[in-house]
Amino acid sequence: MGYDLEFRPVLARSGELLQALGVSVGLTVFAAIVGVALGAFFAAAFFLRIRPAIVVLNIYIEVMRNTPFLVQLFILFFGLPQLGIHPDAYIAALIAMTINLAGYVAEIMRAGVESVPATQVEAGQSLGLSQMQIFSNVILFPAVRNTYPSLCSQIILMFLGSSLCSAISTQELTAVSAQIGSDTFKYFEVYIVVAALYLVSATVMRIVLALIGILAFGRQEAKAFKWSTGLATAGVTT
Amino acid sequence: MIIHGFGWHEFVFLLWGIPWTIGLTLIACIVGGAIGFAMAVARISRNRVLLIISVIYIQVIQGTPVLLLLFLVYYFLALYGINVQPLLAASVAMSLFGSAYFADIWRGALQSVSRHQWEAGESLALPPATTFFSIILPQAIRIAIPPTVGFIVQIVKNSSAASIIGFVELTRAGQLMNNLTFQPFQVFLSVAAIYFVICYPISWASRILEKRMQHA
Repeated sequence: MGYDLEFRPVLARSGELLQALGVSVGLTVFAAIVGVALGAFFAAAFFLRIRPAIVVLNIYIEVMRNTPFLVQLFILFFGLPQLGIHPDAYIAALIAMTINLAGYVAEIMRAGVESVPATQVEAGQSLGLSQMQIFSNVILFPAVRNTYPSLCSQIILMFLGSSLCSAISTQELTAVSAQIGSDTFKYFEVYIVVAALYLVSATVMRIVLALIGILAFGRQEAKAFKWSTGLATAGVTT
Repeated sequence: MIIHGFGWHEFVFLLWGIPWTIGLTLIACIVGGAIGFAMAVARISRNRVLLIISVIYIQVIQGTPVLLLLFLVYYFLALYGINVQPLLAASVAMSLFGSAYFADIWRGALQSVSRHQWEAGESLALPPATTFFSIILPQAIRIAIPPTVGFIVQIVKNSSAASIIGFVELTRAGQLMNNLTFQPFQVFLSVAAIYFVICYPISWASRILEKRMQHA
């Protein structure tokens, strides 16, 4: 049973690992910004009751939530070339992460929009605001505030899920660690280091998101902040 | 070598991946459920040591990607000279993954049972264990069912990561079929459709159960 863990060859390449971590974080930040914006846009369609859009969005949300992210990646990266579109590994990863996250965000935000009391919509109507103005000026802010903890959890889950992009050769943290593993034969050590990197980054991301929440919504909301992801992942966000 | 097109027979080959995906999910639910239950109880206990262990356990596993859990388990077993079967590594990793989330979901359910129920048990001079099993647990289970069912969908989906360590389930079957037919679009679309057929009814059930809870 005598095996001594040897971390030196792994730590010698920490520069590469940190750079790759930057790629993972970068992918996540992009997917989070575009995904949340898209999700908000979709939520607007639900609020404005645009029938055809709602039908399409419902299908889109269910497909995103009920198929594995890995398979979505494969369809984009391996499937699209068959149709003559050749996305590179980074673009495919970005698109997959964004549309996946947008599906979850749309579902969360729909619940958020419903959580805003109807009286506020009526107040907006009595001021003569259009439905679109009511959505952007009355509904959107409290909807995001009420669902902020779930949105944060979903973004963190996407960050962790980004490790699957290594399967389509996106050179993010997991792919680079596999490379280092095969160079040094210290697979176990490198994966321990990388798991720790993910853990620390996810925690830092949580703290940053919490700070953004406090800046945007005030201290009151920070109390509702969830440190763990449990219920949000179950798709039961209330 | 003969290159086949992706037709009915190839689709049937993919279907053979289903029992492995479902089997892995069941193992993760049963083993992960057992560990998760213990962790959930530890998480609400007054024992400091148990509390700290469970908090760290849940945070560490929830902060680690499933793929990394799979790699760590796989290479850990390999280090200690065990001839690593992908099924074993995948089962252990998915059970660990499931347990951390089950623990979190069930802790929430246990804590949402009113504290007065504990006091009621105490005032009847019931031992704490009896209070827990006969009063608290039955109420917590009712609350926990919808999110637990919802989380099973996550296990089914995340089990696809086991394909990367070579466990032949649905996704891996898709990759193998892709290598044979070179029609990735049809193959992976079919794989996604099969996952959807497995996951959607579970999601739907979870939603119905949750609605029923709210009305009750």
